[in-house]
Amino acid sequence: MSLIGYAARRLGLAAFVVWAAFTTTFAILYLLPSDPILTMLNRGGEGANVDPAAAAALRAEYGFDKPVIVQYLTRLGAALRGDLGRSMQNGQPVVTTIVDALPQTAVLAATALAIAVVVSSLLASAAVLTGSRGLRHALLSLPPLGAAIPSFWLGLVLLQVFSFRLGWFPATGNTGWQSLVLPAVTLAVPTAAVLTQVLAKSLGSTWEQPFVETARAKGLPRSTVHLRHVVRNGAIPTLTMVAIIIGNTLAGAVVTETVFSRVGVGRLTQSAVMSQDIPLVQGVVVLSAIVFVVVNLAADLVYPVVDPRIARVPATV
Amino acid sequence: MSEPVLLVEGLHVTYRTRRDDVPAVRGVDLRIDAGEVVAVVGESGSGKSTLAHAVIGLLPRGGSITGGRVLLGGQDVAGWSEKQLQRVRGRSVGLVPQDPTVSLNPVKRIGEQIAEVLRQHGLADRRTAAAQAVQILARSGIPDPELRARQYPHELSGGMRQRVLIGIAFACSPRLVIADEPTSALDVTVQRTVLDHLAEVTAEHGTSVLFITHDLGVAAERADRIVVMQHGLVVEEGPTARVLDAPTHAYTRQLLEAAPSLHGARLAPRRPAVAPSGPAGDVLRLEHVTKEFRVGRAPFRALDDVTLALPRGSTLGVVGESGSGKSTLARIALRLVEPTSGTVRIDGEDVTHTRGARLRALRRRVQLVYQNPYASLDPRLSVERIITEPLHAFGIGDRAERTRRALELLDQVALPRTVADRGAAELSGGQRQRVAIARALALRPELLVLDEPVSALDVSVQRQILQLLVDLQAELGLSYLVISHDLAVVRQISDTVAVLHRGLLVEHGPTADLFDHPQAEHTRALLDAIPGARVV
Repeated sequence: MSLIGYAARRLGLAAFVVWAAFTTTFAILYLLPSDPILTMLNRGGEGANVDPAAAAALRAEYGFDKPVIVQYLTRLGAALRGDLGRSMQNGQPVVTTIVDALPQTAVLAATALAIAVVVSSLLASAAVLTGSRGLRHALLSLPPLGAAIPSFWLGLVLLQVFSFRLGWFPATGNTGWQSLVLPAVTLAVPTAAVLTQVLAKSLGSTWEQPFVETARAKGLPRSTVHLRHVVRNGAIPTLTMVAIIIGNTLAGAVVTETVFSRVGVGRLTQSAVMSQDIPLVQGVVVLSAIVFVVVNLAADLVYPVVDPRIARVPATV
Repeated sequence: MSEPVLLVEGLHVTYRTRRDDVPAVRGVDLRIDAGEVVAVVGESGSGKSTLAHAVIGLLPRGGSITGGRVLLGGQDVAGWSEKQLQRVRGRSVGLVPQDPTVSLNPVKRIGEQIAEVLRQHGLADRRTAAAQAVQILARSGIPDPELRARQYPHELSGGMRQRVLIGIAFACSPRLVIADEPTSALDVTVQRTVLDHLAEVTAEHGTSVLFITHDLGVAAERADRIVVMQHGLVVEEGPTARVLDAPTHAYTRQLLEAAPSLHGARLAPRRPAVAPSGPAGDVLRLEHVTKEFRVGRAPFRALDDVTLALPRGSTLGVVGESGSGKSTLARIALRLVEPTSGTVRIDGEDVTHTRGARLRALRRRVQLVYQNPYASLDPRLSVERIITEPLHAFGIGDRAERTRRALELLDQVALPRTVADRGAAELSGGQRQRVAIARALALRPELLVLDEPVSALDVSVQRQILQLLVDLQAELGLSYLVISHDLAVVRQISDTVAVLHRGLLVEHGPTADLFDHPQAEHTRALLDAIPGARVV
């Protein structure tokens, strides 16, 4: 199979995933028995009277009066042109709303990921390299603990200690790197937990490989053997998890941004769901699908760079 | 007399496990003088590999030297720290590892992996190391050394990779090289060229070699002195010729007797023979069988127009190196894969394209014994359950009948009935292979396909399993198709032998004729390459 054929197949698959996400959310959100128009008009006033004329007008504006298949095709056509409709909360286009919030979340996620990678590499390496069985068990019991701590609780504890009591970092907001520290740490903990577990396991089994004995027989110190020979081989399995980890980070952003009152896609998601802002919810789902697809494509491209045994173009597919 | 390169005195090595301490080496003395090649021979668990690793302080986790001295050039390194040992490893002691296919870092270029040892010991800087690495490759007899230096290990053959590893071991001109079963993972003809190369480099540098091997044939051919180890003790040592001609210890005699490469008539059955069951004629016939696999764009021909017959009640040995097509032939005979063209006949019936219920019925008549009894038995099942698995699969008998059959089968493969309730994990390699044979016999097949049936076992155990197969053949009137890379194994049980080379049948004939008067060039090359064949 040629390189172009391979790329075309991968891109086709990526487009399919995004389309499937769009269609599934359409089916679930628009066809559920709740009436989005009534929800929208009902905002603010519990049990307030709804003007039937206003409802009909809105219904026509959003196209809810047309048959389902027409609604679907209209929205799909619009989506292909980059138009996911307007938010029901503020009337802004969904795409603009998401794009405005995206950089804040991207910075938060990237920082959290960086912290997670550094912490997990250090923990896993220390656990593998230490001669003390007790220390190894202690280090390896940290990941399950990290995975078990609820993010909102951790966020609240960090706020209480470092913001309210010590006053080192601001409690809320989006200004300056100081405001990034606590949310990034909160978001990093579950990711680091998963990464450490996978990395420690794979580094440990790499140390058992015969080529490590060859390296040691050359007279290399253990630290050199670890950095030069073991880490790169041991990191390959974790690359596979990258998509899952990024997905976790997006989901984690919902909790983290809410706890720290940060502007971002996570908080947007939270408010969109709370107020049943259906076009915005759908926009967020489509965004996650795009992120998932892009991350997987990137991982596939990075694989042959890390592991020369994997040909860029598979011989038999 | 000059100082020995290596002097081991009263060495004790113990493995600390969760439950207790297991002694692996129990008071071993060993002396290697300058330029001497000393082979330590023993079976798995003899402590030979532990001894080799203790010398350079590379014992696996849990292992430690608990007594004695290891003198390298007069200095006792037994109690040395990791840092002190690092100056010795690679510099004054080189290591040639066991399996070249997994002993190079898969994600680093060949050149870097050679250059690394030179730089570590300050014999080159970043720039000169790369050039020296290419020179080492050239001296190792590797064509296109510049290109190879830029390649990754998976782009080199097993034999070439072992040359690279030998190059690494000799890069700093050490006084001692430890070769730990350096060719047991290679094809026999490749094994020979690699051992020749090792001998050349050793002679050129005047290096002493501690040669670890399970193969007395290899030791006989390559060593000045032989040290025989059993259960962590040296039971015999002396000049090679003396140990081979006049062994003093019973265990050495046993090893010599079992060594398949050192002698070779077909084993005679020790049980009364019955007439083969079923009609006379060929139990298996392959007619013009060709099998192609698609690899990328070009089809790869694994088997090319092979015609073979296996007369009922006899044994056909199929010999070849890796890539010769012998495993494909076995899979076609078992009807696990269909040939691209040609005909497969069982008892004259064309079964080339048989499917469904008829194929399932065919499975009862043709059974398989796998190569590795450590991998082919489910460790969570009891031996009885493993043996009766085929009976369960075909719904034969009730519980009591199956148990009775399992015990009968255990008797046939000469295992005590008490193992029926035990797990396969508790058994030794030889016992496991007996269980695997019992399982293959459960359905009373006519034809057994034996895929490298003894290659995972120690030589003395190999001998016992081969004898068992010969006995069972006589007792039950079985026919065998034996697949092996090892001519010596095939010779002991086969009536006819077929030699495959790159998918082609290059020679086929009665065992004695083929061994005494080989016609094809490849057959002669295989026979010549048998270690020890030139010695005895």
